Amino acid sequence: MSINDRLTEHLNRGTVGFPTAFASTIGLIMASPVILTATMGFGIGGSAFAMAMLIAVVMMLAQATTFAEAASILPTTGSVYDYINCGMGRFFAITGTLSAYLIVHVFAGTAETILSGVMALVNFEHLNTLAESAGGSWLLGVGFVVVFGVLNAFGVSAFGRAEIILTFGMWTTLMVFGVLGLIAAPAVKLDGWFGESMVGTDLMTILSLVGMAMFMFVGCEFVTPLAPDLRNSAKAMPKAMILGLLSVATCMFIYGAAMKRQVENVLLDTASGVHLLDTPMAIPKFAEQVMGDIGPMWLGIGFLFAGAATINTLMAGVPRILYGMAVDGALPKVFTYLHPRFKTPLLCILVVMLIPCLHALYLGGNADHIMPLVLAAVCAWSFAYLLVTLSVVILRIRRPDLPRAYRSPFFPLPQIASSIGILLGMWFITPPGMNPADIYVPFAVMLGGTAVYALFWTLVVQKVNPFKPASVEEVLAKEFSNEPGHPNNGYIDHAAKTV
Amino acid sequence: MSQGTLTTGISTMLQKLSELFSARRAPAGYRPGVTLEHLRRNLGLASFEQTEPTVARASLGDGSLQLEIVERTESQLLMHLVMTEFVIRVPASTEGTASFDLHHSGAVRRTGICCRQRAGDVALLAVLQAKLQEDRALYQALMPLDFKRLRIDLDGRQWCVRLEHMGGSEVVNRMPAFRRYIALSREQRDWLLQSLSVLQRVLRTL
Repeated sequence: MSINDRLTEHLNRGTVGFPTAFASTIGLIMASPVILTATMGFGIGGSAFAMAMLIAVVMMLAQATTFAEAASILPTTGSVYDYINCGMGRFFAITGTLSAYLIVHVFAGTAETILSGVMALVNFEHLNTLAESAGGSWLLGVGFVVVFGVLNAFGVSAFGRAEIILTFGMWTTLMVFGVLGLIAAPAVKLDGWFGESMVGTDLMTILSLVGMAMFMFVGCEFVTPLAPDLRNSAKAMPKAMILGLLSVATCMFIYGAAMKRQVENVLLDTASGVHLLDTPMAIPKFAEQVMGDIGPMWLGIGFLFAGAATINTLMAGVPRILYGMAVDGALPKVFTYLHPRFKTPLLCILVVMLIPCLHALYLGGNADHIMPLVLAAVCAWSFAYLLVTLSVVILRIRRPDLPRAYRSPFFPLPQIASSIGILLGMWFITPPGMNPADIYVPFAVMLGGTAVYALFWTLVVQKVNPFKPASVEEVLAKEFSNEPGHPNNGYIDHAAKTV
Repeated sequence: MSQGTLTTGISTMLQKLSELFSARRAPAGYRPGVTLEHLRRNLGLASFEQTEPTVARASLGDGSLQLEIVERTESQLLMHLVMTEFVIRVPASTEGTASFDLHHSGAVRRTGICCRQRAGDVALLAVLQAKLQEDRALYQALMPLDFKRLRIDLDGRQWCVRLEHMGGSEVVNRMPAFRRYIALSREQRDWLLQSLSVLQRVLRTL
C-alpha cells in the first residue's frame, strides 16, 4: 500500500470523535490564569482590550488552519516535534517543542500553583482572611502540589472521572455567570459594552494588549496530537479548533462585558495605582453581584476542584515520564528508584513537586508576578507557533507532492497574517505600567538554555546534522509501525518521543 | 410530544449520560492495543498474538510458559495512563478460594517479599509464605523485579497470577499534548519472565 493510501486510511480511522476534539480546544479555559487575565485585561483596557481580543482571535484562527494542515500531513503523536523536524530539522524541533511545552509549563505551571489557591480562597471571605494571616492564600496551591505529590507517592490516584465534568463545568459556569451578569441591571454606568480604556485606545496600546489577549486562545493546537485517534480528522480537526476558539472568545466577551457592568473598578492603592479589576478580589465581587451569597461559593468550589485536578494530573503523569526517560538512559539512573512497597518513582515525584513550589516560593507567591509569568509563557508559545508556521510553509514549497487531506485556504495569507500578528504581539507584549525586562529576560534565559541543550543533544549525543530536516515518509512509516498488527521486530525502538 | 416518547427520550439521555461518566468508559484519545504493540517489541517473544484489541497471548519459545497480557487504563484530568497486566493461569492441586497480594518489604531498600491475604483459606497463606522463603529462584527473580502489583488468586481448581509492571505502560497527556511509552528494559523483561515461570512451577505443586 502506498504512503498516500495508508495516510488516507489512517486519517479516516480513529477512536474518538469531534466532541472530544472540541472539548480539548476549550479545556484551557478552566485554567485560573486565563480567567484572571481576562479580568485584568477588561479592567485596564475595556473596549481596547476587546479590540485586542478580536485581533488575537483572527490571528489564532489563521494559525489554526496552519496547525490543521500540519496535522493532516503528519498525523503523528509527536505533533509539534514532528512538524518542525520535517520542516527545519532536529535543532529547531527540540527547541520549539521544549519552548512550547516545558518553558510554558515552568512559567504557566508556577502561575497556576500560585493562583489555584488564591482564586479558590478569595471566594470564601473568612477562609481567605485566615489564610492571609497564616502567610497567604497562594500557599493553598503549594499545599495542593505537596498533598497530591504525597498521595501519588503512596500510589493513590484522585480525580479519575473528573475530566469531562471540569472541562465543561468551568465553561458553563463562566457562561452562566456572564449571561446573568448581562441580563441583570447594571451596577456601573458604562460607555459601550466594555467601558472606557484606562490606558488609551490608540493602535500601539491595542497592540500592547494583544499579547495578553493571545493567552486566552493559545492551546488550540493541543488538539492536533489527537489527529491519529480522531475519526475523519481532516474535517473534524479544523472544525474543532475553529469552533473551540469561537466558543472561548464568545465566553470571554460575555464574561468581560458582564464583569465591567457589575463591578465598579475602584482604585485600591493610590501609590501603586492598583484597581479592583487588577486583582482576583474582583471575581467574588462579581459572583456576589450576579448570584448573591451562592455565587462566590459556586466559583470558589469550581476553582478549588479545577486547580486541584490540574495539579494532580501534573503529579501523576510527569514523574512516570521522568522514570521512563531514566529507564531509556536519557536521565541519570537514580531517577529509576522506586519505593519498595508502593513502586512509585519517589525522586521523580519530589523533583516535580519542587519545581513549581520553589519557583512560587522564590516569587513569594506575589500575585504581581503572575502577569509577567503569563506573558513570558506567551512568548515561549509564540516562538513555537512561528516555527510550526515556517515548517508548514517550507513543506508546501519543498514538498508540494505530499498528500494533504486538509490544505490551509488562501495559502500563504493565513500564515503571513498569523506570523505578523505573533511578531507584533511579542514585540508589544508589555502592557502599560509593566517592566519589559520582567518578561523578556526570563524568557530569553530559558530559550537560550533550551537552544544550547538542543545543540548539545543533536551534535554530541545523537551525532546528527541539527539543521537537516527529517523525511516525512520516514516519520510516517515510524508512526504507522506502532499500530497494532504491523510487523516490527526491533527490540527497543524508542518509539515514543522524549518530549 | 407523547408521554411514551418523552419517557424514551429521558431514558436514552440518562443512558448516554451514564455511559459518559461510567468508570468503564475508555479515556478520550485512548488507542487500544498501541501500548501492547510497544510491549510486544520489548518482550521480543517469538509467539505474540493479539486476540482482542486490548488483549494479547504470548508464550516462551519452548512453550513452557503461556501468558495473557491485558491493557487497562486509568483516567486523570486531560491525561490517562495505560498499564499492562501479565496474567498466567495454573491448575491447582487442591480446590479452594483464596486471594493474596505480594509486595516488597522495606522502607528505603527492598528487604524481602511480603504476602498479604485478602480473602479465603488462612492455611494457604502459611504454605505460600514458606514457598516464597524456600524457593531461591522465585526470591531471586522477584526481588529485583519492578512490579507495581502482584496478585495471586485461587478460584476452584485454578490459580491465577496477575502482575502489573512499572514498565510496559504509557502516559498519554492532552494538555500539554504528548504521549510517552515507559519501556520494559531487557533486565526487567528477563526477571519478569523468570518470575512468572517460577510462580507457575511453585503454584502447580501447592
